[in-house]
Amino acid sequence: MQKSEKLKKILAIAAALAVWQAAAMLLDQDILLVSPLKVVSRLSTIWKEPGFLSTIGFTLWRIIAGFFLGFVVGCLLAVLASKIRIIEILLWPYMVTIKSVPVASFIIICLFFLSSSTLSVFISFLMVLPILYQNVLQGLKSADPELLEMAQVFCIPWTRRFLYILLPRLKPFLLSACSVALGLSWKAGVAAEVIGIPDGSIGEMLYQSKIYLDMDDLFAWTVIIVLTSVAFEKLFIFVLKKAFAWLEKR
Amino acid sequence: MDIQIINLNKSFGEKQVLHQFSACFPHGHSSCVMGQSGCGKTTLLHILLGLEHADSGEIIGLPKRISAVFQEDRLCPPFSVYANLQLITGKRGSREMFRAHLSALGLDECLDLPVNELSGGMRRRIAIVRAMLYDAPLILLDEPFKGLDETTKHKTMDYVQTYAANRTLVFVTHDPTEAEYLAQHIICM
Repeated sequence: MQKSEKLKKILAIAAALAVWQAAAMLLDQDILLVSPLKVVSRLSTIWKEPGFLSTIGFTLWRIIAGFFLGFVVGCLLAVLASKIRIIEILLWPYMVTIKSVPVASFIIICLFFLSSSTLSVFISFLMVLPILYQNVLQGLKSADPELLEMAQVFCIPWTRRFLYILLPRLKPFLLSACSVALGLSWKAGVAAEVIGIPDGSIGEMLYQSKIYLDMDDLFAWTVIIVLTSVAFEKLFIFVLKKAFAWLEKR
Repeated sequence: MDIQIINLNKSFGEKQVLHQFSACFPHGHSSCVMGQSGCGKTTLLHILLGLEHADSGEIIGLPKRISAVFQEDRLCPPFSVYANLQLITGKRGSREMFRAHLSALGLDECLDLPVNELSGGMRRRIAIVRAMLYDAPLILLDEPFKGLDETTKHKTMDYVQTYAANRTLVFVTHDPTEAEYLAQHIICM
């Protein structure tokens, strides 16, 4: 990103924070809208509280587990569906249902079958699955037919076909799918925790903030969720890009 | 074993591209297929490669392994020349082997460059090197020297002649000088 572009984005964030601060001052009711300064002040103390890191770890571990499960299963199903048309047809109603049913409905239904601590894993998995499946399937379908013919003529083994012909095509689809799916897995995973209220989770903290009308905590935990989610997304996309770059340099 | 093509027919919808086509490509010799655009030369090569099916007719003596240069270069874009060559040779290919082939065509500096950074002429020659490196008794070339200047073309034809020796070579061209230089048999469609 160019320096001027970065500067513009920083200025935009500063302007948004100024609007937030002005709105909070205008309302002058912390119970409705806490000012960004108060959130920063709460953030400076919240990390010192006992159990802070374990709370983040609890939620982070479960959402990452759900994401990776969705990533692996979504990719495997897409590979199968790209090879066997009937699998694509059979999977279609499940994928459409997962995509269109509200996440809150899933959370409540799944609460009957799953413990509250495993609920966020399953809900994250469920949200990631159709995104990865559809993007990877689309990527596989967009593979250059001329290169596939070349591979057929030269009897190139399936593993090398995948690495050299399919994976470069998958790259943009995989990167955009992961970016969208990571954000969604956090939103849905935390929502599952707020409804399931497992002990020691970020969702429980949000729920308690709501019960006690502790808006400082609510906003502080929201900022922590956003920062953790963005940090994990950036890290994962960075690793994925490095992996692709390593493959291309081979 | 010679490759015999007997009464081959192929149509795409209403358009018949091959009509009762028969030919013989002698074993270990170089044959050139010539003809006007659209007369079915590429279709014939595609049928020999197993990429198209003939409507009727017979092909005798076709080996299982066939090497080819397509009308397009068909190289894997983000990867280096080395990776593209190793893709078809597997562990059998080494850097030294590739360098020897590339230097015969003046491309020895290109081994580690991504193929999408090479010129059209360079990519064409890499596709030819790839075809020569593939261990197959039959090599099919579809307008292999298209886009090469005269000096490079002759150098490349010499390279093909050297590395296709004792293998059956079938190539398609519109250029009579290429046919004269490289082919032992000419088949007009």
